[in-house]
Amino acid sequence: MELIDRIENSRFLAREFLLWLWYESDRLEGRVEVEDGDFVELWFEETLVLTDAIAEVRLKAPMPTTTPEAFEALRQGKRPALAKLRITRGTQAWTLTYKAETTSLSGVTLPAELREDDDEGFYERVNLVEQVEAMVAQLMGRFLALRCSRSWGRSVVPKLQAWVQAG
Amino acid sequence: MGLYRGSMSYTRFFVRGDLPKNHQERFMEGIGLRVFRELDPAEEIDQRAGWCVCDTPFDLDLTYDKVFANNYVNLGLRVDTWRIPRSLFKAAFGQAEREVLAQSAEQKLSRSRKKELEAVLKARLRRKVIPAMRAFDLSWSLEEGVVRFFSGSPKVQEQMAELFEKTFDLELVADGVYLGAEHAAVDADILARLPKLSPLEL
Repeated sequence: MELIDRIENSRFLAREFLLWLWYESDRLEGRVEVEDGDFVELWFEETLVLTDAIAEVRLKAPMPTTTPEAFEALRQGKRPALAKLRITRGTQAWTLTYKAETTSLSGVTLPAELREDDDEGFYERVNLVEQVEAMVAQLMGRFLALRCSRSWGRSVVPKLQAWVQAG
Repeated sequence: MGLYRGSMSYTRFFVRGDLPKNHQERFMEGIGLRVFRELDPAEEIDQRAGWCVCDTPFDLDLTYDKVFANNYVNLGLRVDTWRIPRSLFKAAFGQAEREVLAQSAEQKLSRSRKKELEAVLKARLRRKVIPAMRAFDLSWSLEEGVVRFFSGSPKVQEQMAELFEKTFDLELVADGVYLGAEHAAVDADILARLPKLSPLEL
């Protein structure tokens, strides 16, 4: 398979990643494991967009993933395409909007910066952004490992189905 | 809002291929060849893109210290475009068309004659306006092989990727699930399975 086909055939997984994050955050009351024994607090807030091939549902609410409209959209077959996330580790908090189509981050706000707007400030900002990217990458790694495992179909999917129906 | 201050909105790209030997010298040479050049009204182009100092679009003096920050290459992509106000162009064209018709026996101008007139007028009007300038931050982490580009516009991203590849002679590919997993060195079995998965049915 050509690289371009591998890229295109895997694209839908970014939307499922957001769905899984939503499920994990809901199930674990925000305390999500990024790696063995390393936890972050992860919440969906303010903006959630769910789409299918023909329509889009755009939700604006303090906690959009808790709204009946969000679960109704899932039951209709829509999947999250864009979401605003708050990730907290220790005393540091990041907010960002994750767009599944391009796996791009926008509106990334960093934990309070200590240094001035100079070279040192640049290194601090880039270090903070690399930290949040690493957390997202670790979460994606966990999701992909689970998605390719036998327990996905046997255990996770039935739980996801029950969660969506109950939501 | 960009690399140096405010919230950050960017798209990641992965650099494919190894850094060449003496990469700092070679990169400075490549950047030097593609520094932004101001648009000239006499030229028949509507837009030009090139490198400038990151966060300082008027600074085109791209010295080593302004480009390299330890293991990062920081640049600005500057894109200037001639934008002649539509109303100005329409008025100028109407007047020019009337003058041409008055000097000839024709009732109306042919399509090719109109095109010619448009080109002449555009060249004339370019001298009366200043180009619209846009600049976008770019930060390349040489260690990670990741470029963060601060524009969400696919068109601008394409322009950047083209200029980047010409400048550094390295391929640039946009982030995504598959390439992100490859970059993160996920297990080869998982990587091989990803393109074969089917969407989840709930």
